[in-house]
Amino acid sequence: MIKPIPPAFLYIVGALFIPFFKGRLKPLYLLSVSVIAFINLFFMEAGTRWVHPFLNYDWIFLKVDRLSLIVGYIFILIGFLAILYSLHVKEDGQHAAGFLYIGSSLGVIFAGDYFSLFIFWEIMAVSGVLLIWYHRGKESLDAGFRYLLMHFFGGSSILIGILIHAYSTGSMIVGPLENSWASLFILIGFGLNTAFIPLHTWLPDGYSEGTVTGSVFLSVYTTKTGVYVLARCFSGVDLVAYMGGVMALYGVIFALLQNDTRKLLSYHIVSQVGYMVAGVGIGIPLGVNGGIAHLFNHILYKSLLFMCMGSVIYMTGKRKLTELGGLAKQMPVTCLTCLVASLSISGAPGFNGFVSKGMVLSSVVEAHKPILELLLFLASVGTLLSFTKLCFYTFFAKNQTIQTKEAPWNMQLAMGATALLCIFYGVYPQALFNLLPFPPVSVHPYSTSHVIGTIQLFLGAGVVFMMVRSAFSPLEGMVLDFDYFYRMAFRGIAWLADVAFNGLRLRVQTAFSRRIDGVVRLSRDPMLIFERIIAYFQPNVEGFYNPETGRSKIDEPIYDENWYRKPMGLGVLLAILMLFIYGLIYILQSKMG
Amino acid sequence: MMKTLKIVIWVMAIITIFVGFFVAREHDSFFWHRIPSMEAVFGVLGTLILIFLSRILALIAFKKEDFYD
Repeated sequence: MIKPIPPAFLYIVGALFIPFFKGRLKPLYLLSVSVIAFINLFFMEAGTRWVHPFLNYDWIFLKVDRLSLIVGYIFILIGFLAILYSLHVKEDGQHAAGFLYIGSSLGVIFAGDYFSLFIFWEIMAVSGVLLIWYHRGKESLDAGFRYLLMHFFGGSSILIGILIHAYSTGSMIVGPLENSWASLFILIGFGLNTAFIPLHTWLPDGYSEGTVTGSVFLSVYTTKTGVYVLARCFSGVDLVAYMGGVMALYGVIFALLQNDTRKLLSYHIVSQVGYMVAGVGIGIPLGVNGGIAHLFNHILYKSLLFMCMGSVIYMTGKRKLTELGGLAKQMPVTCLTCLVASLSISGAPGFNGFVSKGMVLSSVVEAHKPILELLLFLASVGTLLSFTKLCFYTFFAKNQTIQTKEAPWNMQLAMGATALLCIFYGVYPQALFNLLPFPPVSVHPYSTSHVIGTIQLFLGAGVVFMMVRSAFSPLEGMVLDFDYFYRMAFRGIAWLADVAFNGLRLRVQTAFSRRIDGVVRLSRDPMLIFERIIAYFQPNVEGFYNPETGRSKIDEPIYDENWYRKPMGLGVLLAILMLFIYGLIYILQSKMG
Repeated sequence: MMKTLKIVIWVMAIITIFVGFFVAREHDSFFWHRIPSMEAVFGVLGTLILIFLSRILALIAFKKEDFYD
């Protein structure tokens, strides 16, 4: 029998071969990698390991248990569907970025030691940003840089935590962390990927600027790997549980004010991930099972929502609710699948969100956390309102100006299949329960009180929505988030570096240059001294020199900042890389040996 | 179409609230679990609270789209 290999390698190595396939072979190749990865995973059992000793250190690239298996399954399944959705994309780079992103996420999931986890974590950040940058345009470029900056900050925090952890405990096995400085740094890094408030701003910023297909990938992996590592290392931490409640409510309040469809969906990722974080933070088996079940279901309906809105953008070129409307007849498949996804995320009976949301809420009650229950309840109401608004203003509101047709076949097929899965796991939740990390799962989601209660919640909110619908009308504009403070702080730093420090440098340089140039000129022509005296007493007379640069105006070169920036940036990058490799070798040899 | 939908929602709301009085509760941990048809109240109150919170947020943080440019 063939020994299973880490699924991450299949995608990462698979990305290298994408340019070699042309024509009809390309879609087949792209899809077959996920099929092989799924079969490979299917034959893995809890306890399977893939350890590679190197530099006196055991790199554990594969460590399988029930928790990693269920997340691995859904990652590969949705990877297949997202690739199907993006088959029409001609650029190999986009497909390769998607493969690297899926592969690195799977690498994090199956990593058994912190160093392998960290390396895959960073590949995930870099490949994720490519999915934003491929959208091109200034907004995407800027959003990508902000995404990268925040993720590198998170990555650095994790690295610091890992190093402290390695020195204090001598262990590098991924597992529950004690309360310490190491765990604090690691929690900040994990929390950033999981969109903890106020470290979440990269998410709505970046995901709304990704390519149509790239945002489908993005909506799945980064935050869910965050939830996974929290479940692995910080399960049962109260701070994490309450952070989940705050995220759930914060996300919906911001979502209600969004006009950009993908920004609205992005804020709902923050909110829905809040449910998972709450479940994982509760820490009891029902909570972790609920959190992971919600992760599984959320991946299905959220990627479906991004597919639907991606189709709308792809076909109409419009992304704002104020510009959309009346698409139900022109894009029936997109409309129907979007309704399925909206009902799923809102937790309607018969759809997958109903099951897992109920599990998280039950775990909160079981752990006796009333405030958390109220926060999650309120978030449920907000989710329903947001998606009523999204569907209404995209598909049903009157708009005669848009003439379009349904999305390409591959997009429709991916949306249809994902919608069917949302319904399947809603009506037959046992299929999901069998995979959850803490068996046996004795949950009865379709109890009378739960079904009636959910319908009551929907109708209560629906009645108010009908009465004050104008309160939910989309508005042209944007809502400032915490990134306002980051941006202002960075502008302050930029001002300090450019105006204050660089200004001081220029003044000093100008002063010295003037003196030296003066001496040189005077030594050539001593009679110039009289001219200088006149210029001194009549400062308005145009001089020989540019006061900004201190150079003669005649031979002053045109300043191109990139000419200086590029080698500097490359140098810094190489220095950081070398420092990291040096540190890694040093630690592995001195501590782990 | 919209009028029919409104009537259906109102009728269903009344029926489910009525049924809620006769359904055994799943949880009994906090006082609101003991209020019949509590979820309907949550739906109404929650919507009003969210409208209020989002309006406050809009007052503070709603800007033109080119704010950062």
